[in-house]
Amino acid sequence: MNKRAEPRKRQAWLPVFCAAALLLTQLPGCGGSGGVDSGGTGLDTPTLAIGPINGLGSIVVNGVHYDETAAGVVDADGQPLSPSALTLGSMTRIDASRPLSTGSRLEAVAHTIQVTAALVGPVESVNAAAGTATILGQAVVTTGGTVFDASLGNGLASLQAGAVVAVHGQVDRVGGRIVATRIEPHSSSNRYTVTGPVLNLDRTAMRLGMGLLTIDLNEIGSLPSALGAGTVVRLKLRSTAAAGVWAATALSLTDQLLPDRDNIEIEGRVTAFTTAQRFSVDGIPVDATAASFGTGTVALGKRVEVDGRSVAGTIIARKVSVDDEDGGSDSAIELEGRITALNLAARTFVVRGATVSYDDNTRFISSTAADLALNRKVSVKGRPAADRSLVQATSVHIEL
Amino acid sequence: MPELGRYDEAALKTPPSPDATELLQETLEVLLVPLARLCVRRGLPFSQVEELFKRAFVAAAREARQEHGASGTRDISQIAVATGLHRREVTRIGGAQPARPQQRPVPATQLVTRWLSDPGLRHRNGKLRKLPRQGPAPSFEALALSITRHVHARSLLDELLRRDLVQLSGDGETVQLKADRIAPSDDMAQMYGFLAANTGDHLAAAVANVLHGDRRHFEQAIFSDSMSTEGLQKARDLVRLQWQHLLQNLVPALQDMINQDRADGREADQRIRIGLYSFHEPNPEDPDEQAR
Repeated sequence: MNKRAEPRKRQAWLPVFCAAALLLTQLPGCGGSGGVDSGGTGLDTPTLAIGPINGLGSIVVNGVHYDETAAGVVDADGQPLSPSALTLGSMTRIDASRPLSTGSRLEAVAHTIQVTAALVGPVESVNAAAGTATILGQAVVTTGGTVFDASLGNGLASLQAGAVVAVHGQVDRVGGRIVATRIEPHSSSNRYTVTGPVLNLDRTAMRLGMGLLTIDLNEIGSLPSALGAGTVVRLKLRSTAAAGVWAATALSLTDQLLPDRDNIEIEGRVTAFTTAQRFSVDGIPVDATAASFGTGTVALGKRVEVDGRSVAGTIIARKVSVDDEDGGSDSAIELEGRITALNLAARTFVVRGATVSYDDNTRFISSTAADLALNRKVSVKGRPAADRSLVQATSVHIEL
Repeated sequence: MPELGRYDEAALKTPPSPDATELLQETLEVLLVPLARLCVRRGLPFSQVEELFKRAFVAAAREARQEHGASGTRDISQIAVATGLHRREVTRIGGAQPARPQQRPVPATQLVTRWLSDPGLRHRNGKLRKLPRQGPAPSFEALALSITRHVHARSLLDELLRRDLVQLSGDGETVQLKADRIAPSDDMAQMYGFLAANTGDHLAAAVANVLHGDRRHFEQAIFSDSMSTEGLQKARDLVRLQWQHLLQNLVPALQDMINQDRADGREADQRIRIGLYSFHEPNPEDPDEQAR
């Protein structure tokens, strides 16, 4: 017997009540709905985010705070990395839940974080004044947003010729260079890495040119049919060249590394341009036919942020934003965590492995510089300091 | 292995055998951890949870007695024996029933469920159709009317727009389902509602299967402790795909059954909940490894 089957005289007003109470959650006593519903506490709309880390504490990429506590951290080959690999400026590819707005910021839970340097190889030359370097035959340029490892306190000037470094960054095809988001020393170097557009390809001789390098492909075996001049590829190289030719041991096309996702957010450089509706970001084709555009104009080499979904290696854009200025407001850094080292004389402290510098212009929110103490929890907003190995704090909040 | 006895008068007096008690305690310990986590994180003190437990125990004992036709003056003392609670506590709690709000299908989410699962609302390539706002089926108006005649299509559309689940074309004539926006809401009432309804029914199914010999509810799972992070990601993708299949196969089938029942004048006095869930976490560290 249906306990919910109420006496007939109640039924006359029930539809009115149901309509008024409307649409959601339980309506006890409204009789059989005659339909099928669904729902639950979990339905992940997976998101893929690609971009440099702009904050630590939860890690911040493309303005979204990702909780990384349960995430696996891996390198480009899927090998596990220590969570300490998540550093400011590191280029990441994050598989995460869909970002949700929680008051003032967007938050998501990271499942896997891939940290990938565009370039691993020896420094050949440095022009510190121009902010450029040649590393493994590739032109590298730094911007106001480039972060240097703490051991490279003088920025580019710290780089010694012959030293092996890892460069995180975005491929700028029009400039034929890598725009660095982070530069750090690299120790295990039995293989080098190079990422960029193919300048020329000789399938018979199994050779390609990239930057100043000539690369032998005989160890790769069969080459992908899509490979050709202009394709953005990532190569692993043996760490010694024979007669000026570098032997590649692995090759991957960057646009074939993209899985299908309902949500994808990428910050990168326009590496190919047909129209504002058809272009590529870091080698990944973008279809912006149905997208909304922010300020700025899409052009080859421009830094853009694209939100959309990915289908068969192409991003179907929902929204495209163009950053006209390198190292502009987007290079704002956010740090959250406990103070693990404090130097009151030098006016610096360390949070999540990043050294923060403060001065008279730093705004202390509901606290003062005198409240800084080891193990206290702080939230810092800042930007790379002049030497780029420090974070210059613009505001600090100390939890008292 | 000794099994806990089914409820009968003797079971009120005879405690389960030590082995069965141990098994039950081990099981409860596992079940209570996530509940305790929820209470601690949400600041619900133990004393309040204890009171809820007492009410649930009294209700369960009373339910068991009623199922066997028992009643009468010995009620309080029998329930005190069955639950281990003091008679005064049983009297104080009296006939208070634990809250059992029943989750009922509601028009807005029913409409989304139908749109996602009805093959007539998809193109041949499987993509969801954009629907003209008005006119004969397939249209949003026809879809809304097929769900309910008590809520106007315009009200349903407003609700779905408010929840960012659909978007209107520039001329306002076409409605598109934002399939990528369909995710659990940030609304805590809804989240708690599904926690209680989905997990409650799942737990009730497994408990009934343990208590009764007939294994009356379908309850099965696939599990492994040998996954990598990458493998896990692929497995999660597969689960989502299976959910799509489940929606597209089961929802139209259930709706057909409901329509047929209605046409045949059969009483709709049963409910069903069919779920798919996955859970993942790193393997716990081996205590032997830790000791070394």
